Amino acid sequence: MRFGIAFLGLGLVLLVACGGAAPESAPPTTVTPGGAARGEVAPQDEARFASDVASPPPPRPQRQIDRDSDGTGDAKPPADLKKREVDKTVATNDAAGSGTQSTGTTSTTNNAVAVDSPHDAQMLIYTAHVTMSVYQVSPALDAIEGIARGMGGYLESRNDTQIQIRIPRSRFDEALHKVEASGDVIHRDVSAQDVTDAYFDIEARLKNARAVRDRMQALLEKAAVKEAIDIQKELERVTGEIEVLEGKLKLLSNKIAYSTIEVSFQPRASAAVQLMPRLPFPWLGELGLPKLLNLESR
Amino acid sequence: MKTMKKLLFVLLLIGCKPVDIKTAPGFLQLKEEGSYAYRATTPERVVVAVRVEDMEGDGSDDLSFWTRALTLQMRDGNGYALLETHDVQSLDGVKGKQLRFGHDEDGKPFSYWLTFFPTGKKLVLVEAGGMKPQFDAAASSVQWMIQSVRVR
Repeated sequence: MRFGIAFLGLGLVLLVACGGAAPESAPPTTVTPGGAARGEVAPQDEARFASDVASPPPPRPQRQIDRDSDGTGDAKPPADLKKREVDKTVATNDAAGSGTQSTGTTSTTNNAVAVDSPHDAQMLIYTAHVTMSVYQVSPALDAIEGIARGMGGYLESRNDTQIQIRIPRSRFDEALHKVEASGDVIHRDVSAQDVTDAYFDIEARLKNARAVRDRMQALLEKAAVKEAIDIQKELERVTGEIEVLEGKLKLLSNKIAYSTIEVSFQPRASAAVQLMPRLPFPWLGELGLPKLLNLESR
Repeated sequence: MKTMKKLLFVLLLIGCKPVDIKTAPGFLQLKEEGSYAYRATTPERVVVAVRVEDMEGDGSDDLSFWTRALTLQMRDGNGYALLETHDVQSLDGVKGKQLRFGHDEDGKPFSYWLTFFPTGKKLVLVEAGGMKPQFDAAASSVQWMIQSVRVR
């Protein structure tokens, strides 16, 4: 009997030492930051999103986009954006290569985290304004249009001195380099506008509006004729609001998915040039072809 | 003694001339009254001209200063494309720079070369330009004229 109690006690001690304590002590040493992020944070985000769509957006827009695309249909960003994000994950994982095979899981997890990092998580609209010198403009315009088409983008507008192209966000830098290589860049202005708040605001309003519409439709089925007319009017208003919000979300998604590169072939605006300090040499302004080639009046 | 006087007179003449440049065959020198010290043209209107601007003060012979100033003026101010930059030297040994630009006028491509030699007391600028096809055809003559420039 004594031996039995002693064995039982020893067994309990071993159980606590080997197995029982493990779930509490393991995570800090074995779970990578990436693992923790993907395994723990995401469900919280999921729950937070489901419970309160109007709360400040969590730093995971990619997931939010995916979630939204499942739930809201039209509001989802262009399909290729999601594809690109997947491609990016794959490419990043591939980049880890076999050199990290011994810690393969960790590398993959870390790379996945890199894709989900705050930088990518922000919904940014990239825009570049490039001013090029005025030389062989027509071939340069053709070349830039070709760059857009060759990189999965499209031409937005073009005239004799200006062109605006849209490029998939993931190829923005590459496209910008190619555009700049097609001429002599005088001035360059690149900006990234963070529209994360605006995106989630519209998304939340859309979700609420849809919920209202669904409730009204349910009420409409049970309502008497007089009430039904009022509900119908309100339903029309809400439906209109939904359409407007869907349009806004679609436009915003497009702006996020496709960066804009605008190229101007013209001397910089005189206002911008005048901001530059002027040298006290009036003859500088006489240099150039018009005066040189004017052989009539001197 | 007479020979000495003649030599002195010739040297004085050379000294008074602001710049010396040879006119290549195929170019016609124009009588200048304006801001150019020299100007010549081909029948196709490829023009080579020389300006001489008086300079005073420290740094007026700073080649990098003038390179930057003229590049800014032509690119930012006039929208010219800087295509090439070359180190050059006048026939009498003054170091200079040649900026080769391209620019569209009425939708047609033109070439424009701006060569300059800062001597300290003056800045000699040699401008050359014309429609690109005609200029390309006359480029070797233009280059020959620029290489013939004496600035002192």
